[in-house]
Amino acid sequence: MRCPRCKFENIPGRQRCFKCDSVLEASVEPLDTHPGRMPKWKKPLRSMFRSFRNQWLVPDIDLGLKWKKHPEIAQVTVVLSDFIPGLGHLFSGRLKSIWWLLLIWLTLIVSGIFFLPGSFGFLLIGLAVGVHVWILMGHGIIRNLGNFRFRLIAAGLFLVMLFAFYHFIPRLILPDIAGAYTSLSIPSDNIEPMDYFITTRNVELGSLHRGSLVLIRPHSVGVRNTRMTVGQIVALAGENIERQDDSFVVDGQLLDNHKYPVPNWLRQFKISFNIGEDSYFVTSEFRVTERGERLTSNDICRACVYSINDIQGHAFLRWTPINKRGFVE
Amino acid sequence: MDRFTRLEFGDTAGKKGSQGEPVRNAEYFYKEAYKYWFAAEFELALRNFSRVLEEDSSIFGAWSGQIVALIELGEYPEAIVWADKALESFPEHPELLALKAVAYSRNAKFEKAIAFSDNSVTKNDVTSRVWLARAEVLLNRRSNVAENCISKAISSAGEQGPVIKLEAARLLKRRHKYSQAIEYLNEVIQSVPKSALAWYELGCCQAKLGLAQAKVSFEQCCQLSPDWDEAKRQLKRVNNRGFFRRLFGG
Repeated sequence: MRCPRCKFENIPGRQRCFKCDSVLEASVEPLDTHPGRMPKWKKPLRSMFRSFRNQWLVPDIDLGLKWKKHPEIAQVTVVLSDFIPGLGHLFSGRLKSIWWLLLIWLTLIVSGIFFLPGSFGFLLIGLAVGVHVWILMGHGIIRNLGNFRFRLIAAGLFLVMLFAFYHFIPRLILPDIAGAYTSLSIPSDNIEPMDYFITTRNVELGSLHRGSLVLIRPHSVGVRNTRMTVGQIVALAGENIERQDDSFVVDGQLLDNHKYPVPNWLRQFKISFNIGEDSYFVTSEFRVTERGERLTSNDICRACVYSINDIQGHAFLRWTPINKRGFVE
Repeated sequence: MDRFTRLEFGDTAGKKGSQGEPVRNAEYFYKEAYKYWFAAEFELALRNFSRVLEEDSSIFGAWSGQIVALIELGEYPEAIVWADKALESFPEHPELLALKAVAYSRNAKFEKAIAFSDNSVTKNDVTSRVWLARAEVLLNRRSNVAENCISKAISSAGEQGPVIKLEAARLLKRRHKYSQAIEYLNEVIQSVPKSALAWYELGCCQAKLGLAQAKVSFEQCCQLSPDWDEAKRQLKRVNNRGFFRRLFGG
């Protein structure tokens, strides 16, 4: 029996060629002759990754793990895991090769958070993003990218994506935490303008009292206010508030102006309000401009009276300046 | 051919046999598979190749045909798995290694593609499809040697000449070498005038070069394969071509 492939003359009755081991006769045992097919849902996914690979943006990584049957899932995992520095390397068993980069990244990120929201803090976070891109590029991608141009494009792309990632991730991880500067000066608590406070968004009605520092978006009076600020609650719901010289008078009781100072912009106006239900009189150095000759009583009321729904957060920690960092009552 | 056709009864039994239902053996399904392949019906071609193997699993052409069909259907990982299965029956067969190279190449895994292609050309019994796969892999790298590989593939094609020429033409078309592709496609159409796939590819190449014959080619294709939507779309596109498209092609 002659082998159709190598033309070797075999002994009759042989199942396989003696020389090339090719099958000579049809198998007696049942043989699966229908190949496995691709599920339809995989088609666009595969097509997308193929086009990425064609642009040399996604490395051809064989993880050698249990995902081998699903290369699409493995590649998605690699791309996503790279956004947590070192995770992709951990998967592929190459963590040792980047441990020093990981250490630098961790140092930069921790010190960056420590110095935030100052410009030095932002600089450190920016450097941490750069190191993160370095880690990403080291994870197989740099080896598979053909030339400098593609590497540069990939690095730029990662840089943009990571900046967006770093911008949004704190909001995802800590959705109830926010921060803002204050423009108030409260001598009794050593609070000065440009002190930065961390606030919690879980504000309960009972937790607010006179003197509480709260996060608010100032109402626009004359000028449009978009930035959040931290103000001080001076009068509570149902109370009457007036100004007497440099102090507030609440329900006929004179408040200590070291503890509850009158903001500069308010000193020129005579005020007398009854605070409505579920509302608070909050002071700060608001940006208000006169419409016409003078601010009306309604304008001042609008600038200073906030309902519970307008209060965005309750300050619990003074973050900067660093020497005054600590919890506030 | 059944066992009674050679018996002499003094009548026209042989003629009657040829007019009746054809025997559905491996050879029949193999021909059907290629008929569908030439009509760009790769799903049906794959099914017929599978039926060939149901009849006789030792036919190598059916194994390679299945892998080619899977590649044409864009199912590259499946084609690779099936090539590995075929390699169990035909160990180290260069054509199977070459087809794996094609599957990897089309799946944009070029390192593996070149590795399998390198392996396939070092074997003894190199077939025309091995050279064609080599050409495809090298064209990805923009190598000038690729065209020599295509020439080698066509010169060693033998009976498979039209199939190899058509594949070579499609490969050249993918690499935007339309004039060369048209040469091969004209030869294919002379051998297999009822190939809708050849007419379609010819029409595409002619349209890219801005030739008016593209319309005729697509019309022929639509006549041969009236249900082929892509061909109809291309015919419509050619019919609606504006002045600049006709001038510059596309």
